[in-house]
Amino acid sequence: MNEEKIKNQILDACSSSEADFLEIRVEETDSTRINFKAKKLDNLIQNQGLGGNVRALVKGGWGFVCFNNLNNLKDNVKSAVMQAKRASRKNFVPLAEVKPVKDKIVSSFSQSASEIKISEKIHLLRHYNDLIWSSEGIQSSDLIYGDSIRKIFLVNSYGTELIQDSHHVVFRASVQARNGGDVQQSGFSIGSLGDYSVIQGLDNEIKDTVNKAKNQLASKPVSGGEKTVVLDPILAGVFVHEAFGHLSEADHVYENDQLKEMMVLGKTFGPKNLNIVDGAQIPNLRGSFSYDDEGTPSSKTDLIREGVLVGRLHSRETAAIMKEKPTGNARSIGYNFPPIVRMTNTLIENGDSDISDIFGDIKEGIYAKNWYGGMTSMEMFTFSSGESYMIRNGRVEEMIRPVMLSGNVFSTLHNIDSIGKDLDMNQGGGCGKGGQMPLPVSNGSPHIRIQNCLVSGN
Amino acid sequence: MDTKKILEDSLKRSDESEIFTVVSEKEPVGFEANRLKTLSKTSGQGWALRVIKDRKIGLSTSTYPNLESLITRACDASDFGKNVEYSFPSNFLYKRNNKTEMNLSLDNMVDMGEKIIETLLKEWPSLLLEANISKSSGFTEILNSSGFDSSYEWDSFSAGVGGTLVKGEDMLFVWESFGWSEFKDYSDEIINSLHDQLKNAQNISEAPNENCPIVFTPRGFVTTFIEPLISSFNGVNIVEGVSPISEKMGQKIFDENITIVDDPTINGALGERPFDDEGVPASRNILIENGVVSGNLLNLESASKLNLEPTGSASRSISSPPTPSTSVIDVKPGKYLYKELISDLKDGIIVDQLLGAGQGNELGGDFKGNVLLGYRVKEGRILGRIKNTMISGNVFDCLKSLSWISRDTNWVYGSFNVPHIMCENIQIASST
Repeated sequence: MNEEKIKNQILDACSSSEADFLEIRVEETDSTRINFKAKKLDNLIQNQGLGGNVRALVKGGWGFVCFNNLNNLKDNVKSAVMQAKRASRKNFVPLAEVKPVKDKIVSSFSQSASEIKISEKIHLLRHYNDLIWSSEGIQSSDLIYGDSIRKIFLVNSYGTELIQDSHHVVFRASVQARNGGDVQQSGFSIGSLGDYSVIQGLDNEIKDTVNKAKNQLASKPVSGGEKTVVLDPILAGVFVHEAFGHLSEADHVYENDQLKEMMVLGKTFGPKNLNIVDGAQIPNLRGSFSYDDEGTPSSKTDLIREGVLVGRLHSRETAAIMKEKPTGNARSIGYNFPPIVRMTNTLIENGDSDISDIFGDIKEGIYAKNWYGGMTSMEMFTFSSGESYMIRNGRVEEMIRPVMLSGNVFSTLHNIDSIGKDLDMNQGGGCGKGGQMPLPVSNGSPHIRIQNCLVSGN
Repeated sequence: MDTKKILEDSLKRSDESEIFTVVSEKEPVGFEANRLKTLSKTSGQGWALRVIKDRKIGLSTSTYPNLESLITRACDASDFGKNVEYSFPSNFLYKRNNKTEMNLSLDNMVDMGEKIIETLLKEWPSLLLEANISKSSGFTEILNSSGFDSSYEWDSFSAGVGGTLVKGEDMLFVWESFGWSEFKDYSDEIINSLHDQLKNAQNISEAPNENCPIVFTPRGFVTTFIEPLISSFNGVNIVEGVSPISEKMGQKIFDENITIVDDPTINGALGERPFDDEGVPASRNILIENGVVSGNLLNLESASKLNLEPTGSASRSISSPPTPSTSVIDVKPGKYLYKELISDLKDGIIVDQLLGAGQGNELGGDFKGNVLLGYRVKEGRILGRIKNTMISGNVFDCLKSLSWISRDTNWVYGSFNVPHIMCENIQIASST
């Protein structure tokens, strides 16, 4: 659609209202998804979308109206303001100030996924699929490829006028092997901010996944309990996201006095050598962007510095209420949801241990690699490995069935006793919160070792 | 958008065609930190076009009316599409339920939230509550070149309330939610449920240091067992041979008291529908009968590959292809009341919420997770909440033989009617 026309339509609707704050977002999306199941192409879908929302704030109460039809913008503004009035209250804090911006952000690429022909994408996926099926003993497989472009118009009553595009590519391969009633699977995923080249040249990763699925059939389960575990950078990334990232999102804390006390800045959460940061300003990762979904410029926030809580992630509302600075972490997965406080790129910074030191003095433990998922309830959290091995006398030995690990935010971080210096980022995941999923994020870490980590049996 | 015109125009460039339309509207009222916070209204619409050309299928979707590009993209996709041996189903007659407008104002919804919060705060003043009271309505229509031309309207109402209680470094989360296709005042049910959860979780109790019987509440059952169990009944997994039950049809592999039915005809349940998302008539589909594998969940494609009749189990969102899934799950109850069964329990735990469920090797039926809300029972009494405890097992091992199934069932999310069950063969691991 015509860019100027949309922008003028929004500016016109936003120009006058009785709201303390009014925001209109309109977005156009275009996405392609291709998946192979077993030996064949299973689905090729092209989706296009157009939609928007109005968000109004009146004395601390919010109204939110979302629509696909842009013709009734002014009526939608009226409805949102009326809703906000109904939810307004006597005591409220105005939004934290952010300098209004007029900007247009256009991504540039060497090889944009959206410009690659569909036939070429299918050709590449077919090559990977043939590679999987050139191996014996495979029961089934899934390849999922997706790319998307999202062009977002954001205007608010404080004077922000923003056009920002957002490109994403994701690819996941998963292979299933079977022996009688026993079905095992192995997978890996990767993604980028629209750069197609990350999904090229993955032959070795594919072969590796096939072998792991088959080897897993022969692997033995372990019994559960507290154990010494070493996490590879990918799983340690999921760990930091679940174990600490969510608790640093201020919307969990800002209206809860007991939690505020528990999460007071200056409190020690981990060892001296533990440093955790989050930031969309870190370039070229899947959680990177210039402005968040409220028009706040992205930043990089120290969450834990030398084991001590020093910061948290904010929207304009949570920052104002907690009297801290907005960090540019208000995000939504699309126009049909309001922005809420989310992570972007979350990582544990490099420490000083060599890999040989991390494994060196472990008599018996578990090396957990790759990820399957993770969840948190703030205090307790779980994270599942994609592959696991026994460690004996400092050496990584036989493969075992992938374990799920669990921790408690008040003890598990303290139990990290070794941090490597091989930081790597996991770009293949997505985060879910408040029904908004999957939000593009990345997370990462060097290898870390945790003592007394609770491991599920299997 | 004129869907008849899309059908007509798309047939100029293809052999068969189907247009799926969804229009929906949702109005949630949100409470945060014990106060009303947000009122919303979200409207959505979308069209999905599937075409079959030279027996190859293509799909494209859009949330705005742009007929030409929808058709072009679906036809382009069919050039690369997979071969299909089925055709879209033809029309059939069904009895429409009389749909009445849900008589529920925003003020009623706000009042309901305020009443629940006020009542709970009286007894638990330091509790922090959030609530979401929501009504939705929508319209689903399918039009295809085999003559199918039907639509139905649906309504839903849901109320969910969650509470957080923080004491020192201990956080307790409790929540309850209900849903149905018409308005029901769930205030008392929600208040009573949260009251019981808070009361039972007041003390922290020691987790057992060896394996003991585990009781699953209805929602504990749904989070722990439903996904790994149902994935093995999914036609797509059966076609691919990755379902552990693919060669077990007609065999008794579960406890003889287990009967599970997927039933989209249960009046009022969320998931009730006259036909599935491909236009196949909805019908009662017995998956497990007295422990015997008796059915599966098939869409048009998996049914055609398995040479079976489709079971009316196709579900789709506007942007994804139809795949088999459940509609309304009904698990047959047992003989005794839950309370009586608990009072006979010497030593065990109750699992009500499991964190991390669904993140293991579900295809093989494995489950594991951290007991987010669970209690220790000794000599028939609930002692308190257990923490930092994980359970793990395999759904096929666990459901081979059950200690008991309760007579009383609960509706979970308005779509699962499930009793309490007790089983063994589950590993427990906990932090000391």
